[in-house]
Amino acid sequence: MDKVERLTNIVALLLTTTRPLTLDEIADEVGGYPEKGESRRAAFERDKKTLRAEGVPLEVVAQSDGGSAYRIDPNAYYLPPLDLTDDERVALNLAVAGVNMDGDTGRDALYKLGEGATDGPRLAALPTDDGLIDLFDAWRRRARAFFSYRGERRELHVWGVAFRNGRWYVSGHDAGKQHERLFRVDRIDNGEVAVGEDGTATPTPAGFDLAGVLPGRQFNMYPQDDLEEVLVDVDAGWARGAINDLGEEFVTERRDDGSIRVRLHITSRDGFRSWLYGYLDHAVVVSPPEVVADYVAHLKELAGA
Amino acid sequence: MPDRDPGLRFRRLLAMVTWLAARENAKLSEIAEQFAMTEEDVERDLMLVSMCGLPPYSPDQLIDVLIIDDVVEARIPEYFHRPRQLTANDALSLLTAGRTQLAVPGADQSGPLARALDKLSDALGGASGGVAVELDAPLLLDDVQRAADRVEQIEITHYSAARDAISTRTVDPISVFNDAGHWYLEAFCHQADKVLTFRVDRIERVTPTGKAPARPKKSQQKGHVQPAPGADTDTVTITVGPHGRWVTENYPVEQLDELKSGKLRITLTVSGEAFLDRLLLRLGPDVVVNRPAAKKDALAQAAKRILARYSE
Repeated sequence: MDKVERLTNIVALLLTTTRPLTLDEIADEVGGYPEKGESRRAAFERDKKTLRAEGVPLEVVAQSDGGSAYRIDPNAYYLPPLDLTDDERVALNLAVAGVNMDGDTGRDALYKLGEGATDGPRLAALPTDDGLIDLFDAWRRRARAFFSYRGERRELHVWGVAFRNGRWYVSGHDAGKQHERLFRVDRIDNGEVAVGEDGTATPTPAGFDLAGVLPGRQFNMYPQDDLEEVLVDVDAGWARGAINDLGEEFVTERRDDGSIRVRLHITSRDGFRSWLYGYLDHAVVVSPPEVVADYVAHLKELAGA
Repeated sequence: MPDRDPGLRFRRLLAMVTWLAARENAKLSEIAEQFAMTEEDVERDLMLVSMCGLPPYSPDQLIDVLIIDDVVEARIPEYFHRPRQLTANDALSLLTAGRTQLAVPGADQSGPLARALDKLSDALGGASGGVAVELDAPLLLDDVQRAADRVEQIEITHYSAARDAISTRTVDPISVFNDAGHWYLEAFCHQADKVLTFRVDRIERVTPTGKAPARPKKSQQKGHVQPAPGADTDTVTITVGPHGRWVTENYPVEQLDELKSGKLRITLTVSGEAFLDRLLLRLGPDVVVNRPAAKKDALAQAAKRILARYSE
């Protein structure tokens, strides 16, 4: 008997049964299993493993005689009704066709929704990180996520995962720090995330703005105390790149030759130098004198002077 | 070729059954297209479906499938009508795909896709949180996208970070896409006489030439944009203190050795000299280029070029 046929029959049987069924009851009904004994149990274990890997929520119910019986809870098996309209279906289908996550095309997900999948123009490819699915799963199950971040154990009530500027972040309430925190997913030690018990995390606060908690870009330094105002001249040709990096509001002067002057408020000279290095010899920091001196001193060290 | 993976076949089979349940009948060719299978494989799987059902597996308890003249008629039992719950992986890829599409500048934030995602998010974990995606919005994205949509030849002034040079090129746009947060224009470049990929946020100016493109090209873009080893790339090996670990987190590293001294020896492919210069400047004075020999002085040279701007 084809394994796929047997698996399909097991799902139909356990979805519709009025009481949990034992291994022998399942095997006798569905057929295709070896005669009683260890080899039958081993064959059933393999089927169980495949079913679970395919997302079938197989429940084990302990019996009074110490044995086990099985059922599938329809509430866990079926997706709650989505009631998508036709245009919503088409829009979702197109989105899936256009976006690729490290080879995962989302097609399987559409199949599960009872949709076929169409081809469409490619729009975007996003990377994934180890642990990302588990973090998302924790949000979905309202479970806490446990991981080690730069050597420190963390317990997080996950509020969501967010992608910006090429990286994934996870946001939530850090139980140890008693505070809302944001972590870079690619910096979780070994990408290992353990998901706790369902429903034990505090739910995401209503109206929580996931995109709003993302950090600014490295050069978009947030206003804080201890700000230094610096002026940088950027050569023509590199100006458009600088405006895309920073935003129009940072430009204080545009010259006829196409070069621009930008004003930044920096909190960290290290971060500022790193940003300015990106422009190589096409940008010059002009003020204040302390920042210019600091930059030149570092360059002299790098030049081996 | 029949799929050998029983998990995959099982998954597709349940999906096909649910898809059929929503329709009275469907053409074999239509099912094959929807599920990216051959018609033979669809037929084989449908035969298998017709042997499934409930005990005692008598004809009235089996799933009724008829194939007449390439048209499939199926009576699917109630228990296979409703879609299955999504796994975390499924749900994440659906929500991410949708949120990415909505993050494209100009996307309709209250249209059908936004409504579909709200319903999906609600059914999964709740109305707030979940997945958010933000993409760059470079100034000229609209212009570039419009040229690609209309297949118009354009002249672009573009800054190549790898070569650290500005050039003006005549290009025939093929596609505009986002890879790992950045927007790219894939286009046939007349100067280079081949298809090139340009970062949209490094495009300084876009001017339509008014000419029709030489010939339409099909997008070759499949995976991530990555420097392919070739004329413009170089494999370098550097040694740096433990503070340089961020390099391994930010770039595809070919080899990483942790030395007894605590230092890191990193081998990676760099595209263009300017890329290497930036990397070395950011790593600081203790970085050493081991290979190739020609790049041993790259850091000092780069620093001296910048310093020259301060002695004017």
